[in-house]
Amino acid sequence: MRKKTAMIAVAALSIVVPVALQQVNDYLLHVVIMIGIFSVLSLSLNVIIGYAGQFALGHAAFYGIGAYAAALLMLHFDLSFWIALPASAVIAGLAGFLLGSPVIRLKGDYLGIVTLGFGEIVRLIFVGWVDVTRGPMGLPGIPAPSLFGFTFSGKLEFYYLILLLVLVTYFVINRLVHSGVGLSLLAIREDETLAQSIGIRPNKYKLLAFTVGGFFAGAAGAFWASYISYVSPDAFRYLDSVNILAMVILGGAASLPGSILGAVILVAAPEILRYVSDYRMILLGLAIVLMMIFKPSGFWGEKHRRRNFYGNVRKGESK
Amino acid sequence: MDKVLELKKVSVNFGGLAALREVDLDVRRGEILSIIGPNGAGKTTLFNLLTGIYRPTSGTITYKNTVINKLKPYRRVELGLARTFQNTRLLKNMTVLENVLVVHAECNKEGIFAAVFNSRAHLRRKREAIVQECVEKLAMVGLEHKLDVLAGSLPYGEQRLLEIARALATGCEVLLLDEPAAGMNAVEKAELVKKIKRLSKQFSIDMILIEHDMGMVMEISDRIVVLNYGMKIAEGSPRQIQNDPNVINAYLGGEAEEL
Ligand SMILES: Nc1ncnc2c1ncn2[C@@H]1O[C@H](COP(=O)(O)OP(=O)(O)OP(=O)(O)O)[C@@H](O)[C@H]1O
Ligand SMILES: [Mg+2]
Repeated sequence: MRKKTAMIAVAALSIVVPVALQQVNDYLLHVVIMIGIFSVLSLSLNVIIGYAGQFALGHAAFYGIGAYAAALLMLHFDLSFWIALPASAVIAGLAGFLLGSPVIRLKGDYLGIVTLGFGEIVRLIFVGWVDVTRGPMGLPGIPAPSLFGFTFSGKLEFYYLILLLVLVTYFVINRLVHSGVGLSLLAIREDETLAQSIGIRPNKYKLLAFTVGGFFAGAAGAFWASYISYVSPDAFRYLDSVNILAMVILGGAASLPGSILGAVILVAAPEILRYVSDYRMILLGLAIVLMMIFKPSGFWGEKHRRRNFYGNVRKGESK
Repeated sequence: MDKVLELKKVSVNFGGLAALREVDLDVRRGEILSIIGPNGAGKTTLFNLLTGIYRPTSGTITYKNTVINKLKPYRRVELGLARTFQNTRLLKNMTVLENVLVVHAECNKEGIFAAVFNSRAHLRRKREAIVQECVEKLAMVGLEHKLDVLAGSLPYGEQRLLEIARALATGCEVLLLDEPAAGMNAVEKAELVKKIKRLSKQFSIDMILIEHDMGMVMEISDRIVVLNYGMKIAEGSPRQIQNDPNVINAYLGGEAEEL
């Protein structure tokens, strides 16, 4: 009951507050939109890292693939945003699947290094494939979404759009991790060899995690392309991957509210710390190191994982 | 009698070390077969071989008339082979119930689209039935009152029982138990013997048991196989094994009077 009231309150706030924010300052709304984009990114990376336990470091690549795919589809094929977004998500999901196929055989550091390399290669393709991507100059003039003749021009429209995307992402990933699939993912994360010998196919689930992770990161990329109306390789560097990773770790691996919290903190903090501009990366680095030492499971981590979610077994029930 | 599992001249080498040498072995429908032998005899290696963690260097393993030499571990689980581990291996940060759920075929095979798009009511009905079955498996070993407990915080004896419940939840036909009584006291051991016998007779699960407690082995086994240095040195009923000079000399040595 209390939970329901809280949810209604959050829903009302997330609809009303942006309107007020916009009155104060357009820039604040932009920050909130960025929080939305990074929430989708950290939620999707959490499937790979938090649930499947695959320490992948190239998430910005899927984000970039989604952004470029959407840009190219809209610019060259005149596709509407509403088709380009799911199409880009599918393309990025496919990229996740293709990357996954070789790297699911790797573990730990090796996996990290190879996925990091993958991220750099994708970025270099954005830079180098000038005929298609216009290289460092990027692709300008990406159209904004429009609906029934109404074009999204203001930040507020984009805000409601990203809110919807966050909700859909959250709903799907939440359903997915609280299912038999989620249980299998957790089992693989805990002990892959054991998972194998009790009948779980680790490779199938790891591939699934990469595909789902790529899919939603691609959707975030498509939104970004249309929102900023311009894509260039600069937004998809390995630092961006590290940033998304930090959100997952900070919020708590295997915790979806945690992923959003991580996005809020790591998007908002640099803005708040703007006046110490030169030191802000150092401060953030320090914060993450301290976090690793004192609260390695994140602000909203493993302890909050819903136990026995499957089939709604009531707490303490014993027949 | 029907042979469920059959090993023909199976060897396993680790580099220069022969952990199993040309072992012939069969497991018959409905029996409790015990594998005994001194430390390092190759008993656990035999289990790892049967469950697909190791592959034979030579020889063939036949399960229900098909050769399974190269089958992946998860495929063997699907075919009905399940095991427990000598050093218990549980998902320590997951609950007792979740440890059993993950192996349940229907939970395990729940599709991603079903999980995302099916209605809540439909999912709940389906999942409640699966949970029900898993709770029944837990009840067989007497852990149904600990559903919410994290597996890692169970006492040692109960961790072993949980491993058995987990194996049962795979729907196994052959159950491999690697020293299930290790670390249990006499009372718990007696309980365990009863449970194993019940599973064998009532649910007609074929059992292969590795155990060092000779009293328990003699009581529970229909047949015993003795390994030493990777070789099978004897095979027969508990009575035959107790009187086998090979076993007494080569393996039991000074402990012979204990039998
Ligand atoms: N993966 C491996 N690599 C190398 N040697 C191994 C490996 N696994 C087992 N061995 C060796 O094979 C031999 C048989 O080991 P195994 O674990 O099967 O013995 P066991 O009969 O189960 O003994 P115990 O009663 O102590 O459990 C031992 O010498 C062991 O060191
Ligand atoms: Mg052993």
